[in-house]
Amino acid sequence: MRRVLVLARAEVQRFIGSRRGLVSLLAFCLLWYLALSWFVLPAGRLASGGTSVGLEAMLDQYLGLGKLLRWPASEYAAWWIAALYLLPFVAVMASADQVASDRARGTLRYLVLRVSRLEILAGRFLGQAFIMAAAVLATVLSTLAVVWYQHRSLAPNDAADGGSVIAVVGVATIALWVTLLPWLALMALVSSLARTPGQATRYALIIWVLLSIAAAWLASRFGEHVVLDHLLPGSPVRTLLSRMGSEALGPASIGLIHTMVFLALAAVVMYRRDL
Amino acid sequence: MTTMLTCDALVRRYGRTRALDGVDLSLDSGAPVALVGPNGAGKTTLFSVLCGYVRPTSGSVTVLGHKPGSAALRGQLGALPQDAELAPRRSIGAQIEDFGRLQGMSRGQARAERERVLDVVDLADVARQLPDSLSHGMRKRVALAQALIGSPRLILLDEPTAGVDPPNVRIIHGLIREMAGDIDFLISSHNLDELERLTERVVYLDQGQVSSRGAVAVADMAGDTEAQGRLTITLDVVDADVHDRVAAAVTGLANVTGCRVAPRGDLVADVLSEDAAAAEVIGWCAGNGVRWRRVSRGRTLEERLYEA
Repeated sequence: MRRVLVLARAEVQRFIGSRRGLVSLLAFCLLWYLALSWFVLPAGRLASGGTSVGLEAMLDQYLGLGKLLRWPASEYAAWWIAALYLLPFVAVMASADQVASDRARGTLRYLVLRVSRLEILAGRFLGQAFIMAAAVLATVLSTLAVVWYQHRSLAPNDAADGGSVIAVVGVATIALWVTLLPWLALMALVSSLARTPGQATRYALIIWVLLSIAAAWLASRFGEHVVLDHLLPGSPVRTLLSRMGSEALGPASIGLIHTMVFLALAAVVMYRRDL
Repeated sequence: MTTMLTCDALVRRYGRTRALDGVDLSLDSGAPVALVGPNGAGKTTLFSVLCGYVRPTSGSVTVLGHKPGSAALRGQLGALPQDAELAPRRSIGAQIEDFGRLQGMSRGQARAERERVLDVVDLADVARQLPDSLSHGMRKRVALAQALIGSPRLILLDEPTAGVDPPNVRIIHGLIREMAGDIDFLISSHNLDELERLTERVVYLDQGQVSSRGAVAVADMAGDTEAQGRLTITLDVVDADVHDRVAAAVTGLANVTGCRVAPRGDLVADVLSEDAAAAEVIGWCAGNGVRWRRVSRGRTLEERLYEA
């Protein structure tokens, strides 16, 4: 485990020092800035403008997302939607080079003299999981700051109870992070097959499209089934949109199954492929 | 004496190509071993199998008594793989320190080890630099430094001086000679002069098999019977006519029974007494104004491998 942690720490440092890492970080900051200014902030103003009843009716009627307005503040609901849709893209972009370029460059040859291939896989995945945890926390903290800024004039009694907010948002943060893990695991798999991060991303797209086609074909042949709904990585997102706090943990945990399957496949590839 | 490595009917296929085609080999610890052979002979594949980078298709192989890639070999086996590079965006020192930590050292030990191995290759001042900022020769020395981390019993070097400038070659050669008493070396190279200077045993690989060509398949060079009654004379002259003239003249010396010019220009003389013939050859050259560079016993490695 110590070696895996050393590899995870090195992965975080490698990510921060790489051009891909910096581009991913920049893309994340820009995307999240846009999400905050065009989505999270307006959501708060909309709700505080007394239109929340209308908004709830609209969300419920047209999108089936009326439950979103149960969040302690509408900014949190906006954060939840934005993060659920944006962070998977950031995760895919950031984690595409877990082993691909190191394999092509021969750097893995230095590592396998000291650690097993599975430890390399686990260390790189864990490092990426740390990076995405930081990204998730950044979205939460920026949203908390927005909420504080928007509601700073409210009397303490008018504001949502601090403890319950922390509980709801905290659990949602964990659920959000768990939702990203399958993407990291998928990229671990394709990265161990590819020679460049770009190739890994293309492989991920191909796998996702093939799984979509397979799910659609199976549904047309054998009828709709709950298992088919969860075949694709990211499938829990649709369900998660209408969940809040601890309700999100159940659907998010489906992502853990995806994660385990992709990591198991990545382990087979890592074990069998020449370096 | 412990066994350095064994291969038993080792086969590695790439599609229909048999890069290793039933290699049988057993080498004991001791003097450095050269791994030679033409392009495509399977040297790099054998090297990759020994390091655990590539799995054999069939047959068995052990390194220091263990299966390649096994946990027991970590810290025991060092390697300088051909063309492998460190990660470009992390400092050399940080990466070498990480290697130390992955070999079980504490942070402090890994830092001290980083300083030690970089000092051994005379690059103590590059720890903060990125790998891309170094010349090819310096990168090779850094690669050698990572192979020295800990206390390896065996170091495998794949083309350690390919594309390296002479000053860096001298440093690398010096390091290998210095450490050869404590560490076993297996060196794969096309540079036969280099191997002749650094190794005492030779494995000749051809078409994926250990070959007996040149009578040096797995032979201790000191025990080569072909070395008896032969002198190799290297002249400090390029002109082929001079070589022919000297060969003819040397053939007429009392202790020389025959002399021919080898393709790369050395004169190979069959002699009755090596010491007496050497004195006669040197005397003849001095008397006739021919500059000579070296007179050595036996044949060169190249001569033995390719002039059988």
